Amino acid sequence: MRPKLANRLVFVFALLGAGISAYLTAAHLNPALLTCGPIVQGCDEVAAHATSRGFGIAGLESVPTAAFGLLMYLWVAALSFVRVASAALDRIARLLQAATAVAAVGVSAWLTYLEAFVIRAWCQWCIASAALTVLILLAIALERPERAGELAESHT
Amino acid sequence: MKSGEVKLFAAILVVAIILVAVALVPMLTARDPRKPAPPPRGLTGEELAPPSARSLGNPKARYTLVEFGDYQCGLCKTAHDRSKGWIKKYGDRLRYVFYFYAAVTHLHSRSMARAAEAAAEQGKYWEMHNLLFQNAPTMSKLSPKEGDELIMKLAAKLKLDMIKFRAALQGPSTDKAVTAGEDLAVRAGVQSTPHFFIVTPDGKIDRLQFLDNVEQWLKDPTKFK
Repeated sequence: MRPKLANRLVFVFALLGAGISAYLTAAHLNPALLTCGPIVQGCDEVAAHATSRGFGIAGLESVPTAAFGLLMYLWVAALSFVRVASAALDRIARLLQAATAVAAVGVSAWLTYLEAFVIRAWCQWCIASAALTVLILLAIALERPERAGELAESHT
Repeated sequence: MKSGEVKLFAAILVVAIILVAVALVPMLTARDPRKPAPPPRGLTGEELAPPSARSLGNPKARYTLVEFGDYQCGLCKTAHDRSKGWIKKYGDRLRYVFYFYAAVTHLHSRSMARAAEAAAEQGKYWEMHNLLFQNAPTMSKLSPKEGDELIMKLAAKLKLDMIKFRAALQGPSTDKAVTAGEDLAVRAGVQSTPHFFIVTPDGKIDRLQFLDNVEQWLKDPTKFK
C-alpha cells in the first residue's frame, strides 16, 4: 500500500475511533446516553464492569477506560498529521504510530477477551473500537517500506 | 499549509470535529449529568428508611443516607469502599442504609443479594455484605456454579451455621427480602447504581443520586449535626 493511502486510512480510522471513544466517555459521565443494539445488547453490562473504569486498576477508577482510548486515537491522528506536515519527522512518527497500534491492539484484545469470557456480554462500540485498532495496525503494516519517504518528499 | 495533503487532512479534521460536536454537544448539554433527578413522588422518608431498616452508623441520627447498590457493579464497589470512610468519619451523626438493586442484569448479583439476606438471618448481614463486595471482582470471573461455591466459602468464613444458611438461601424469606428492596428502588425511581438519597429530619427525601454528590454533601458536616 502506498504511504499516502496508508496514512490517509490511518488518519480516518483514528478519527472514527476518537468519535466512538468520545461517545463512550460521555456515556460514562451520563449512563443514560449509552445506547446498544440492534445486534448486541450488552453495553450496560460491559459499562458496569470494573474494567470500564481505569482498566479496573485501583486509583484510576475515576477515569473511564474509553478516555484512554480517546487519547490514543487522537495521538495516532496527530502523528498522521505530523507525517504529512513534516518530512523530518515522518519516519519517527510512523514508528510511534506502529508502536501505539501494537499496544492498542493488545489492550483491545484483552478487553474483547473480558467481554467474551468474563463479563459474557458484548458492546458494539467496544467491538467497533477493537476492529479500528486492528485496521490501523494493518494499514501501518501494509505500507510499503521502500516508499516510506513519499509523504515527506511530496511537499518539500 | 505546505501541501494539498495537509489541506486534505485539515479538511477531514474539521469535518470530524463538526460531526462530533453535532452528535455529542446536544447529548451532553441536554441534562447536567451531575444534576440528580427530582425527588421521588409518593414515597416518604419513613418508607424509604424506616427505623427498623438495617443500618450502620448512629441508628438515632437525624439524617439517613440511603444507598441502592449492586454487588456486581464496579462503581458500587467504589461506593462501598468509600462508604466505610464516611461511616468511620461521620457515623456518630449519620445513619447509613443499603438496599440491593441491580439496574442491569449481572450473572451473580441476585444470588449475592440473597446470600446477604441469608446471612442476616444469623445476624451477619453487614459482614457478608462486606465480603461480597470484597470478592465481587473474583465473582465476576466465575460460572454460576463456581459463584455459588464461593458464596458457601464466604459463609463458612463467617462461621455461619451452614445448614441454616443453605436453607435460608433456598427459602422464600431471602427472596422476599431482596424483592422488597427492589420494589422500593422502583418506587424511588432508581435507574442506575449506585444511587443515593438523604432522608432529612422532617422525613423528606433528597435525591443525591451520584457518588460525587454524596461526597459534596458530606463536605459540610455542620448541616447534618
